[in-house]
Amino acid sequence: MMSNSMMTMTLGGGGGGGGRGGVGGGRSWPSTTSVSASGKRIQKEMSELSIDPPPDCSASPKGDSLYHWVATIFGPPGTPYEGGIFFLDIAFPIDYPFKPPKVLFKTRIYHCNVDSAGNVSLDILKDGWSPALTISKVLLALRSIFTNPAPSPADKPLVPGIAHLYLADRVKHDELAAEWTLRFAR
Amino acid sequence: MNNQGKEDYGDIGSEDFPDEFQCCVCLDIMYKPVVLACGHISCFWCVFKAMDSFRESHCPICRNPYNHFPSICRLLHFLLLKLYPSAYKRRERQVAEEEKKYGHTSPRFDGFSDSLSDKALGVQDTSPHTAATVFNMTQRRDSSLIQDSSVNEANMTMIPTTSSQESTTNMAKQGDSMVKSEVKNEARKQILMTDLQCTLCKQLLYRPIVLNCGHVYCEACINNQVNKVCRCPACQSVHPNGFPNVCFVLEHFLEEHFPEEYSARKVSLADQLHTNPSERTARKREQATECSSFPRRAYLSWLSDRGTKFHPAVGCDWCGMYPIVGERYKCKDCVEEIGFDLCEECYKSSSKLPGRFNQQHTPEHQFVIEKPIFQLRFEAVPPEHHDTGSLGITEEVMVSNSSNDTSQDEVDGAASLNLSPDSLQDLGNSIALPVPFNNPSEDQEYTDSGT
Amino acid sequence: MFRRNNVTARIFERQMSNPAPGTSVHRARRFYENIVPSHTIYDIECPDLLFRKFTDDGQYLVTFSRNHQDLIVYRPTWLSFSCKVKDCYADGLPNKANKFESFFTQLYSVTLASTGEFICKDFFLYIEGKQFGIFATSTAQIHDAPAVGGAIQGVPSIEKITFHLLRLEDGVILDERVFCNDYVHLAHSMGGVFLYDDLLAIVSLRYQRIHILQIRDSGNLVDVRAIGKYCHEDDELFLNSSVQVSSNHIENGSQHIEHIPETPFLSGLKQRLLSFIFRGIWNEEDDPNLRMQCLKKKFYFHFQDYVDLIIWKVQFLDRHHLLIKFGSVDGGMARNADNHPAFFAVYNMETAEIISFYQNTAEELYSLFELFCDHFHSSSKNSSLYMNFISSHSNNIHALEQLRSNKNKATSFPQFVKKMLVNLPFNCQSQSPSPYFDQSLFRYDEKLISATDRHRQSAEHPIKFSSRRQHNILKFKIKPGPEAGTSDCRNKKICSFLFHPVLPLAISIQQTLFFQPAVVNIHFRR
Repeated sequence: MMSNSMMTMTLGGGGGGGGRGGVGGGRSWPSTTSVSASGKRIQKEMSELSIDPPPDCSASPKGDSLYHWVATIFGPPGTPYEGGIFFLDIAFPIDYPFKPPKVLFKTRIYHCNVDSAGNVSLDILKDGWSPALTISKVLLALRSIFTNPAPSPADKPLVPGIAHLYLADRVKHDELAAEWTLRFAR
Repeated sequence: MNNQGKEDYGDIGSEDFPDEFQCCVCLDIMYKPVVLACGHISCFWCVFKAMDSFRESHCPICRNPYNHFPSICRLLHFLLLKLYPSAYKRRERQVAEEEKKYGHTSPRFDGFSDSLSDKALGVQDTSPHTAATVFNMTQRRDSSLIQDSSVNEANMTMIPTTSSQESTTNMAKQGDSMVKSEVKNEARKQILMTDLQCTLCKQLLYRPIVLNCGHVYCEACINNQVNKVCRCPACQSVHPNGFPNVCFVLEHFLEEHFPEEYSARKVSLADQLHTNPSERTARKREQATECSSFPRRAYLSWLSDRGTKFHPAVGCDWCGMYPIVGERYKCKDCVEEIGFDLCEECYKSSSKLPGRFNQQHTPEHQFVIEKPIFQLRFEAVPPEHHDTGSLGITEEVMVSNSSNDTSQDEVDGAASLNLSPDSLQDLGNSIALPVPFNNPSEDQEYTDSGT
Repeated sequence: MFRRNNVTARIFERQMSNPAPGTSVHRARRFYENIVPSHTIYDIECPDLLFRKFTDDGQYLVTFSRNHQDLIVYRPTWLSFSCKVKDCYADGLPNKANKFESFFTQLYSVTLASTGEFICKDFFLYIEGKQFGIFATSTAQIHDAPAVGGAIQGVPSIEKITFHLLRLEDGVILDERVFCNDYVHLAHSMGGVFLYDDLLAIVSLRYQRIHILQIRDSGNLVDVRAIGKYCHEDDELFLNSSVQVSSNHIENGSQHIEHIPETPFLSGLKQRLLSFIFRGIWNEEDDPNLRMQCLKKKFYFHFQDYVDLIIWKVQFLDRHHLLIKFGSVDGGMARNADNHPAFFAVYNMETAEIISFYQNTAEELYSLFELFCDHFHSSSKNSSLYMNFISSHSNNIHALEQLRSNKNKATSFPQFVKKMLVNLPFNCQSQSPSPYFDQSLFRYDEKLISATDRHRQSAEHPIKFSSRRQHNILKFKIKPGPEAGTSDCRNKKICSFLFHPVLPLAISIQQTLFFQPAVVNIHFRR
């Protein structure tokens, strides 16, 4: 129905990427983004995560808010990040799981897919998001970029300098990454 | 599944349900399950909320694209209700609360019905869309249904009607007693068996597929039809975008619970066709590809077919197309906030049935053609990393739009709207089309959403 | 310098300065039982000064002018009182005994504060070996200063804080260090600055950094490192050098320091702290399920609280280890922070590792404190001998008894632990090494007087010092304020005592809250 326009539209009930937003228009089908629904789902993830956490990862809400989590990832052995502990901020949108959570590194890391503001470029946290993904899977994906960075230009690395070094001089890259880990992630 | 054991004991009172019946979105037991063309299942609301209001949606699990919101699979609905009444009832209460809060209701089923064994289903009905609605009972029960749902509309609650309450409590009792006796367990199995029959071959479902309308058949039974268009034998509605995949969750369930019957079916089918099932599957898949099983292409062809008319966040209440592409017919008389809309095809096929969200739509209601909110202008972008068939049309589109700098667009959808809220507000309702969409030649095979 | 020719002085010198070979120090110190500041000259004629303290070697008396502008340094002398009868007054002291200058010789007066600045009258640190002094001057504090440039919310700002390094011998200013728009606790017992050997730790409360400075023999203050945002001294350099490849826009050298973008990252110290806590809980539990429960409750739930902790105080434990007290912003500004949750961390600044972490109710830390109190106290690895005689419960049986009786009296042990741990980190150079506070020699009422340098409410009656060994024989009494006592009991009177570290000499200063001139008494062995 037409009268039900702006507000509902912005709440837009759909997954997927850009191109939408506060488009005024006829919203025919309902938008039913519900706090309790996302809250329930997050709670379920929480209990599942505590029963079966991914290796070397853990995450849990910080304080009382169900929508703000902290995750911890041990730098995987055999990588230059070994020995480091990386803290990440996870913010769930109110329409989770239909929108991806926002993940931010709280620990400095020398990585071509993490920029100087702690943003991480991970497809599944953007266009590749699917409501079937869980924090557990996100943690696994994050952990996998420690072992396998995505430096190629096609992956659009956030720090091209690091990506370039990774491709051109892997040894030097790993040395630097290990030094960063030692200095900023211990 | 780790909870399987409990299930064998008929653990009905417990909240436990096997992982396979967990909805991947809400992580709870699937409530009012909807089966996508790829065979994956989610709750009604979960699928709805996960859909993209601007373009085709993707299955949360396998990212298979789709653009029709399938109807609830009643067979699965009642199966789950029967198997895990307490968990299912709990979900029902939860969802009812949420629906009350948001003022939209999902389709309701009155009472307990052995839906698929309904002999009247579709067979003698000749006119499409009249035999059965996806959301309601068959026509013969419509009178009661309307009564029922009008009560609900008035209250805006999901309090179950007396009939359904009774039946479910009966069923719960049934369930409890089943725990105690093996014999009754057998009986329950029998009930399940009849519930899980294919209406076409009247046997236990084998390699079940769930159509867009929510009806379930054996893969072979549907495949036997000569038509290249996949049409539901019961309600005559067309399953968009070729043939759906086997619903593996249901198949597993069948295999698990009726091992002998299921393998018997396997053998008999193999004999019948002198081909082993895997070959058949392969053949079927080929066929499916031929028959445009991949909505990506169909979607694009729609867009091109129907020109620039595009209605974001508006869905067809009959076939489930979402968003509506092409002409949008809006009901003038439906008073529900959610409105009632049909796509061109469904309007022409004169469907005047209640909407997907219990709108009190009647055939007497009048429609108007609603103008699209804005003119569509989109660029086709080559799908950069898509696993599923980005064939034919998509590529054609890409080629035809090669004058565009396609790489600048980072959205990896097949088509992205070149719109932003700001620009929209600035420019009002019409936006010029500096890059007209070059219409690739339309392939009839791919536009199979209509009749 | 104290060389005098009277008998007392000579005996004192023989007993204390050059005892017979083989004499145990403890035995020699017993001599103090016999030579005590038993005589008081009330309300001495005295310039209007703010008395800070005697240096720990007894060489200097540090005072400030009333207007908080000048530093005036005196040399204490032991009044010689061999005088002719006609020059004396009734009790046999010369007339000049009533003058402050008879006891203290002014060495010099230096103006430390420049325009708009005032000397922080509670702050003075003495570097004994080099006879350097550190003083601080500051401008007035702004309470609602906006938190910009990485400053934290809720901490006032001082436009300019200057630390002055002086050679006390002649008052020459050797070096200065200025902190702008910052806040450093310089008041009594707030522990904003700690000196260990030649290392100085300054806590910048506003920017949450611990600045480690070294005082060179040459009289220079040299930056060693700043702990907080980064841990190692070259972390920032390293960071800038390795990211410069990707970001070329921050090139303008001087400008860019002020425009450092707010980073979302945890500060270096917080990262260490959080990962230490995390590892601790992680390693505590082997069962993944229980571990997750523990982490959830003990770590994740409090994550933000840990992130919000600020550095309150710091002290050196040795040349490498710092004891850092963390707490909330509110607690950091409060004078009495007992009710705020607080944490202690031991941090090795060489390896940039957290060694241990305790809450302020931790019994483990308390037991360490009880057993090894002196270790917490040490402000130098080679401090002068008599610094060892500052009584504590870990070196003095009487102090320990006192502590135990307090412990037994305490209604709740956790509360007691909390109360005791408030003392940590210790304030630097806050205790007088005077032998009269040595609890193995003297007994006195610790509620009225103690070695700790602070202001107290003045008692109406003289404070008694009695012999510890000779069964409570009264050795001497000290009374601040006028001899006759005051008729006016309504005004609260605050007094402080300055004891000379070696000599039987003390100054008591009594002040009423209204700005009446202070009453200064001198107590000495006549």
